[in-house]
Amino acid sequence: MQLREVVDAVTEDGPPLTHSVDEIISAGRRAERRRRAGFASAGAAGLVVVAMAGSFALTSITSTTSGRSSAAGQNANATWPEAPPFTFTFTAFDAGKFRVADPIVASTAYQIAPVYQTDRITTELQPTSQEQKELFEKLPDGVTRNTTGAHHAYLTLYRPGAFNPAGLTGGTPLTVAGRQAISTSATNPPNRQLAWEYADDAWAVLTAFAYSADPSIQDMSVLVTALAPSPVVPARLPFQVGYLPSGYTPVEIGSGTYPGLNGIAAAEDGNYGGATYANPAPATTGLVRPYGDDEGLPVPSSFTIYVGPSATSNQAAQAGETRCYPHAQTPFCNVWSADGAVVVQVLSTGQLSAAEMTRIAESIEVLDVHDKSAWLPASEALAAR
Amino acid sequence: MKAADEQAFREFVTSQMASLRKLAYVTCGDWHAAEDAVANSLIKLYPRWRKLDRPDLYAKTMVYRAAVDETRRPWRRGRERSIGHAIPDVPIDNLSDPNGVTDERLRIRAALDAVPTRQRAAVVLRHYLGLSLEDTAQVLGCNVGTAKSQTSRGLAKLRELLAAEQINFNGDETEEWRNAIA
Repeated sequence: MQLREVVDAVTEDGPPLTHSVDEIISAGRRAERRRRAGFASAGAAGLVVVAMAGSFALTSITSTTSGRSSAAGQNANATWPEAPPFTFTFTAFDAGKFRVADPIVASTAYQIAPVYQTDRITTELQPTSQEQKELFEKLPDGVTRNTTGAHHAYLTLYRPGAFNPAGLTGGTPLTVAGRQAISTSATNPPNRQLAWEYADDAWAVLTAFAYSADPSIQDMSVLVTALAPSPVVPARLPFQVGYLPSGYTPVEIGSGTYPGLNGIAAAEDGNYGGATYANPAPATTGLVRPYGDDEGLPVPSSFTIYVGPSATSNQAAQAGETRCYPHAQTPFCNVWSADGAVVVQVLSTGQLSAAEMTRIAESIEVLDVHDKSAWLPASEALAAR
Repeated sequence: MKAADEQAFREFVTSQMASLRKLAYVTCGDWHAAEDAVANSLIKLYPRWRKLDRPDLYAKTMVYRAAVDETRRPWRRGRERSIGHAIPDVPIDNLSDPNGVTDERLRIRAALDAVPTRQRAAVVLRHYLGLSLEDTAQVLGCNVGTAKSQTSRGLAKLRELLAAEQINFNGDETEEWRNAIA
């Protein structure tokens, strides 16, 4: 008897696998988000925890059963400007234990900003770099950092009419600082959301994934009064598209990151930008979550442009070359810059030929990825030349 | 993770999950713990996927460590099942086993379980999963010489235990096997 037969003999009676590949991938995606948000959170903590210590004030929350409430918060009378898609209408701000970063993802229906919790650090990965260790170990007097449970969060600001509060199942109606709001919670994955009407028929949603009761809905409510409009600025992209297949329209972009919730998860990864086009375009009303769901799945019948550093690509750089990879579900083509430092990737959900993806990828003009002042407004960058 | 990377990860999981679970099971002796060890390791692998030169080695290392941790639990799952521990997790119809195949299988399992955990894992990594000595050492977290000696001792112990059960055990023509039978 050989060893192979020995091992096969003792393992051939094993029960069927109870975890599917899809389940592992879904859990992996959540782990990736928590991991990245955790590291980013550590950095944010070092920046703002001193300012936040002792300044935490709760916002009034009362239960309500029906009806709309007049806005009465700190920024209740703020006038939100009319803004076209692919623009940003708020900037980074601090509120309670949260730091809301600048929005970096925009679509035809919403804009999204990463949210960091300043008094937490993920437990999934202990600090490894010296900088992280110092952040972890040196807290201001009187400040303790809760290390139990991983977390990540993001703020989605929907355009007027885009969000459908009635679509939230199992929500609890609330009034937060005089505004109509709804809280929801789920256990798999564990998360809670606070949605509130920040302007007429326009909703903001703070989504927080955490394995503990922290942050609570009460904690999250501080954003309701802290959120304020800023002058409208276009999302800017470090590339310009030259060719588009007929019928495809832009759906979502990432500025300094990739589009969608994947871009929020990868906010600190040093990617340059991206855009998703679809044919037909997904609905811009009746939404309850960003496109691609919480898992960051591809938009149906779409292709996405990714512009990023070759150093972090899974494909080895081939300076000045174009190469296509015929994966069954998500084929893609890469075009590397002449020096091999930047890679443009066009990935489709399978409906485009390699020739078509190559044509798109090779038509993209990459700008100076390190000079954001040279980047183009999305409306200009996304239209075929 | 970009979809292209995820597709590669999916293919990796699809092709490796079963063999990883065998590694975990042989290491810890409990199917449920083995499944958990593999699932948790693959979930941890996902965010690191594109940054690893050898994700296969990372996965094996994580699975091995998780399975070893399982054997160190004070309340190891299944330990209290004095009879069930030796019974396969899926029912076997005794009527379909007239030649005593199940009995031999249980004796083989008992012999393998009697090999020290690290030696058992070394043998499986090297001679079942086909890892090089260098890769085996990396998964076990030791140097190559230790990996070689752990493998040889594991093979020798297994050979001795199977011989006591009247089961002839032969190894591949490797230095570790020659040491095991020396």
